[in-house]
Amino acid sequence: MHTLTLTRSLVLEAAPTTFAEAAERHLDDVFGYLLYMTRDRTLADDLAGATFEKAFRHWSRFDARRGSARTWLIGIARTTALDWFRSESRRKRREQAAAQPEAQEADFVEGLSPALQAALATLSAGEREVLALRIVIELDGDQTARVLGISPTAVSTRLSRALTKLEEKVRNDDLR
Amino acid sequence: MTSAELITELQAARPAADSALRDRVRAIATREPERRSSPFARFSSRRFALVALPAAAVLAVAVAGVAGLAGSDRPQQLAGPPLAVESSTTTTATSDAARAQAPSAKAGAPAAETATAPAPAPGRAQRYSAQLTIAVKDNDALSDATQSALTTVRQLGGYVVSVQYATAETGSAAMTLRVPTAKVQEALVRLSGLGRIVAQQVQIDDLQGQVDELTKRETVLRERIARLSARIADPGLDAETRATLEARRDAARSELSQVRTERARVNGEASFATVQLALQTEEGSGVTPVPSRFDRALDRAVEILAVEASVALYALVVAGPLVLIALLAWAAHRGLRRRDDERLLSAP
Repeated sequence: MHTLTLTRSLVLEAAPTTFAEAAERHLDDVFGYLLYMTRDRTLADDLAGATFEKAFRHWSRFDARRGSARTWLIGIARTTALDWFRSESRRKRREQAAAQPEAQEADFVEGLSPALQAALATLSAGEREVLALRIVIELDGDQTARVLGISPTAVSTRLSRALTKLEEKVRNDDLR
Repeated sequence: MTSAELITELQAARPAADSALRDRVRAIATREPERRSSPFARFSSRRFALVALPAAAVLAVAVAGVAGLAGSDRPQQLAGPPLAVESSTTTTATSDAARAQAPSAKAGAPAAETATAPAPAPGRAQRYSAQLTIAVKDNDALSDATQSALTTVRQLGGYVVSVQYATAETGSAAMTLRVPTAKVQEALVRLSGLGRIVAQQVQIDDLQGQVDELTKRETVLRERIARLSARIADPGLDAETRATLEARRDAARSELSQVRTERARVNGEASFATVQLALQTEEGSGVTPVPSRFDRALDRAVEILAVEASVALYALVVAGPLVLIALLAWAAHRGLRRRDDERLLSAP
């Protein structure tokens, strides 16, 4: 089991009083999450915009007692991303994709080593998702579990497997 | 590279939104926020149910309570044996005289503390029958009341035909009393004072017509006998005629005797009224105490609640299967979507 040290403060954020405040505070988290999910900066950009459009429309339903604004926004981002994946999957099936997978950015996250970028690309979207939530965005186990709709134990297991896989990929890449 | 190093690198390279996206989101945020369309908009269906169901239950109870209180003003219609306040008095009259008494019988129907039975018509032969049911407190009171009833009847010149007396946890006594008809009203008043009147019934059959008929017949027979006796006294009668007349006179005398006996019987019947008196303790009387306003309100509220519950049950029975199907469909859709999500996320 990997020991996860979170460097970002996990002190409960004060609930934002306005949508603008929430958007300003959590835009990077939403974008980062979507970037890890899609491995495409442009797409992540579009989906982040769609996410905040949707969040703005439903801001009146946000209840700080039920969860943080960040978790709420990430939940919307996840739904938006899954909807996009679903429509994309249908589109690919319709077009039969001509066996040509669409090229995705090799270095979708700036500042990462090429080996880590390559290793991340081999992970599934679900594995990258849990890495993004737990490590990049630094949601805690309970918040991540709520976003993914699984138990905190399952989150730990999924994270551990993703990190192990990532570690192996990076090591194999280094050996080549 | 270890996991710790990976984590450090991942966290160090945390992605940031570019300025174009930031501006776009800021533009969204500066728009006029949507007003809540309704005060319930922020409630999820689960929260709404958590509030709505108890609220509906409280409302149902409140409606039942208010309706119960409102309905408790009206007197309750009770089926079953007559109550103390509703003792029934039935008068069956078979002659003009008795019919003339019927209104007074009805006027005395609501027996309260004492019986107000119709009085027999003076100077007319009438068969007067009364049935009186009296509730007394307990077995001791039953014994005292029985003794008092017997004493009363004797004091009024009547007599006791039969008495049945039984006590256990509850007690009862049944008496058949004969009271001079002229004093039957007084008797009923005194007997009704032995306890609480549960039921009262009076029946008056006019016998005067029968008495008049018998009297007329007696007169006719007496005259016939006198005529026959005068003819028989004639010395010129032959033996055969005399024998025939004597036989007819004997028959008339015999019939006269029967008529007199019958008239005496009818007069005897008319001179004494029959009173069927039933005494019973409160526990055994089957008498429901008159409910208080609070009890009536409570009963009414319970009735309304029962109606509400049956309506709710009916709605549940009708809508239940549809709701169940909808829930199953929703669960299946959710499960399929979850599987679809997993499949989508399992791809690189």
